[in-house]
Amino acid sequence: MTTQILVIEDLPANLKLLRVILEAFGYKVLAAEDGYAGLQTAREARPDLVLCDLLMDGLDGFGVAREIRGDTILKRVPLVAVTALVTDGVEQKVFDSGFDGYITKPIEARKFVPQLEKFLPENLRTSTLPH
Amino acid sequence: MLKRFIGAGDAQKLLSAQNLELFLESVPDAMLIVDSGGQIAMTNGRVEELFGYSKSELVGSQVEMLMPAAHRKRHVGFRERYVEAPRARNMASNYELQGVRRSGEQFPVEISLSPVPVGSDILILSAIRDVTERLERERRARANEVELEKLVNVNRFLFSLSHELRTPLNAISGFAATLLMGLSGPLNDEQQDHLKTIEQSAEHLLALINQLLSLMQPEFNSENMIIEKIDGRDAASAVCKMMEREASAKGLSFKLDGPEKPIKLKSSHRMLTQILINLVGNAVKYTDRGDVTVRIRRCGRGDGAAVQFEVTDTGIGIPDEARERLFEMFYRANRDQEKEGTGIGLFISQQLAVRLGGRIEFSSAQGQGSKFTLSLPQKGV
Repeated sequence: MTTQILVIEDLPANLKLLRVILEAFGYKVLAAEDGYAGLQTAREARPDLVLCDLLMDGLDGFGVAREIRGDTILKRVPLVAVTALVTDGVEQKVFDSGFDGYITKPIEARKFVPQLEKFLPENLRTSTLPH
Repeated sequence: MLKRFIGAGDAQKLLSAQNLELFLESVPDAMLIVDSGGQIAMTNGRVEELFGYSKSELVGSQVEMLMPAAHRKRHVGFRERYVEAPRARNMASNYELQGVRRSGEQFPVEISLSPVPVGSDILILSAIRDVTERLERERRARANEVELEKLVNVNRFLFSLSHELRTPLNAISGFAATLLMGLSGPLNDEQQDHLKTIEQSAEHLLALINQLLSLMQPEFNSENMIIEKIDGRDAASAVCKMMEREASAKGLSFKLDGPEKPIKLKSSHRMLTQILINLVGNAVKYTDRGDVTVRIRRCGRGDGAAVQFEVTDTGIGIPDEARERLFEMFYRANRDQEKEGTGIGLFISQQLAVRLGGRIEFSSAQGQGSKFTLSLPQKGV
């Protein structure tokens, strides 16, 4: 079965970018434009990995991480923050909130997939080459 | 109080006119005794010093001579009402009182008044204090608060600016990259070339954003910097390792020169590293041939003991007209050289150096190279 990655990102342009990159590497992309929608999708579809923006209206990325880590079914899913927040102390807060990884925007498109595949079990990685 | 030690009768004797003068002289404030008609009856030396008149000029004159002309008339009224209902108090503190020197110069004063009944008449004892310095201190304290608030606002602004600029930059550089990666099909040479230009410009923009952000690092606030025992040699060699690749890519010879042993100093490791990255980075950037050398040494003794980090290059040098402005924010020497830069690096470096109790100096010959010297106190700030 194709590996599913849920992307929670409120800016359509950035969502589209992640979709283009991930699909090119053979991943199935599920998308949500805010934290609550993201959680709902996660509970229904049980993705293999979640990429999540931090600053969003409504439920923000930190809130998403809290909910996911408190959910009996979702709590072990790899969760990676993709954010334009880069100030001192943010990284620590990201890990403290339950994220497994922290990738800053602007992302480096060529390194992005290898960066996040570190958080996927080997059998779920597609390939590091675009299809 | 006085009465308890010497008895009421003695106190009367003690306050003979002559002793009263001695008493006034012993007081640190300027003291005036004025009669109910506003005539100066007695003064001390502080009044002479403060206002520039001699005692003989003061005694017998109207006290209003010591006030700005505009206040004199009003003061006569104040004085008459005071004599009718005298009590010890500070003079109107709700507006700023001014004294006038013989020279005409005005200065802020604080005055306290005490009525002294003498028979059926009343004398008024006033203590006058020049508060120029105190007001100046208060003004500076207020200004500091305003500065600090500004800094906090600037930090907030830079914080959101960084986030707001990075967000769209993500899609700009990201899609340029996906196109260049061929994710949307093959590209011809011209398309590739243009996309690379987009990518490079996006990188430049990111460098600008990062440098703006470094203005708001918590260390930029002296209260938050961590001063600890560090090894200057270690810091320099870490920075050199970081820069070595870039230097060798340009074919420059790159070396670190200093004693084998650690060079200990009390300073901030992060701030020192940031300064060295800027200095060494500039040296590599502005040198196309030859070498870049980083030299560390101790100099001075005792309280003046310092550690110097010297970054020497054989690059394009600094034009004479740029010397004075080199450490200004957003100033760039050699702007015409098509080197990317923001004009923030040296500004920040100098700010950080000053916060660490040191400074950066430079010497340069155009076309031959530059030498930047960072001196930091060995004992810290």
